[in-house]
Amino acid sequence: MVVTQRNSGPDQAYPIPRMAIVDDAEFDQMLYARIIGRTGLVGETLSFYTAEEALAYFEAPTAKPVDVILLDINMPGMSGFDFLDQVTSKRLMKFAGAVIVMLTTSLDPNDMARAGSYDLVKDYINKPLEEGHIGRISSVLEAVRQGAPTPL
Amino acid sequence: MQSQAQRTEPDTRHYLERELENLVQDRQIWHFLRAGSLDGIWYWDLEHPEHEWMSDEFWELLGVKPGSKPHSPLAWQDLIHPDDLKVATKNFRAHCADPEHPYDQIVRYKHANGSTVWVRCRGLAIRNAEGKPIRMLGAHNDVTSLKRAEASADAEQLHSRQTDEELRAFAYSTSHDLKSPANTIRMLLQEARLALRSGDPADAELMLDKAETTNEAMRTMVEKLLEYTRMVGKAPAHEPVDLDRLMSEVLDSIAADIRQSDAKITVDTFGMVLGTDWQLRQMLQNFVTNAIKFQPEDRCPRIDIRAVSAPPGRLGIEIADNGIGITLENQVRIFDLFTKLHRPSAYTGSGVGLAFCARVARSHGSDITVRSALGEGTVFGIHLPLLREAPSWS
Repeated sequence: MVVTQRNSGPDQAYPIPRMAIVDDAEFDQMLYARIIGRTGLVGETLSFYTAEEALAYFEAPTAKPVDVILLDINMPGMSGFDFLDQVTSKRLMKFAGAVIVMLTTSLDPNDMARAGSYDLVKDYINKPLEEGHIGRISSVLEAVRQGAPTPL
Repeated sequence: MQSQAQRTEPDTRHYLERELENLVQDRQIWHFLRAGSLDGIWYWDLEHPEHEWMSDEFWELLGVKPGSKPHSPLAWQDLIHPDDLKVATKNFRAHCADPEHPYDQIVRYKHANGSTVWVRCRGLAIRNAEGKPIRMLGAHNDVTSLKRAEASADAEQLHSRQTDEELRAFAYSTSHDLKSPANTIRMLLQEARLALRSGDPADAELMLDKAETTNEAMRTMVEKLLEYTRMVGKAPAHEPVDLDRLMSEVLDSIAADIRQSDAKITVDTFGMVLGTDWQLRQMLQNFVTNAIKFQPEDRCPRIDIRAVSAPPGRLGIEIADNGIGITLENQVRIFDLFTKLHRPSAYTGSGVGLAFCARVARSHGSDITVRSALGEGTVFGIHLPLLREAPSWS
């Protein structure tokens, strides 16, 4: 896991205080950090290169709760859906209040439908990630906190 | 007149045949009808049901010498498929009770050589003044070639449906896996542009380097895909292949990788197989390069390519390595297109190699077996058709 801390203010000042990103593509992770940094909307990002790594982190008692998880679907080993199944079946309560957003290249409408079947998943973003997406995720998070409807 | 001349000879024919001929009157027309349009005629005495006359054509169709069987229903009852006999009997009863109900069904007979003869069997009950069926006239048409064509058309359709399905899945995963690097390149170019605008050419250079790397990976993937596509939907056209020569050529072609990784490779002697040279070449190369690639950093690859026992007529081959191994659940997934078990920084790959191998194996009539222990190594096994002596026709 790579933690990127942005020190331009106290965490609470950010619309998305802490965000986890689960994606196997190395260059993409580097790019996400730059894109997210430019938006100034995210306080801290935790980057995981595999779903197994992310799951192990969240299962540990020392895990810090996150506000948003950006989750890729197609990854070597455990897929994004495997991760969601594990999280759901193990009732990882750390996720209470966390919003999961799928971030994927998948063009398969079945993937989108499947993503929508998980209560935890609130939005579905097609790659490439753009700065505008972070604003959108921040609105989704806001909507969830206020009990308002979300895209998924 | 011809019929006059024949009438002088003693008529030894079956009474039912004579009676039937009177029905048709003109003998020439009768014979033309028998031979030209029908593959068998039967005429049944329903008042004496043990008597049923069957034409020569009827027996010839079933590979039985005409005249060698009695003119009785018992003569053919063992040759018709029991299920079809049930249908025919049911229709017979219905037709006798009601002339409107057709006696018409396709039934299977067993030919003397054991093969199946498909026959369309139609019949008409001939009734007396009271409407009681007293005779039955039946006609056979051989529809075996039709049935065979139908079966092969069905198989063809199934195959084409499977190919379509496969093509769709292929197009889907291909578009996904090519879009992925395209996205990355787009983001990298965007970053390069931003870096230039903010006066940071060194950062722009870094982004462009990464774009180049990504582009190269994408190019390799397209090449692998093309190779894979050459396999799809193609009927195998196998030829004799000298596996020993092929094996040493494969190892020569990757000599640089072998040297660099300090891999120790042993190869058994195999001999000749029946196969497609370029496919076997690429498959073996994929196996060996995988064995070299999927290694813990501090270990020298040890690869044994050995001849093992196989079903009769087949040559068993195993490729055993001392690499990182594959978990049980992943041992099935690895043969799916674009499955990668490792993140690119750990082990690079296009996700096409083993899918290709599985296709080659299948086109040579083999599965690929996998035995593996994590951290200890993997053994892939296939078998290929052994080259046999050409059959002599003399």
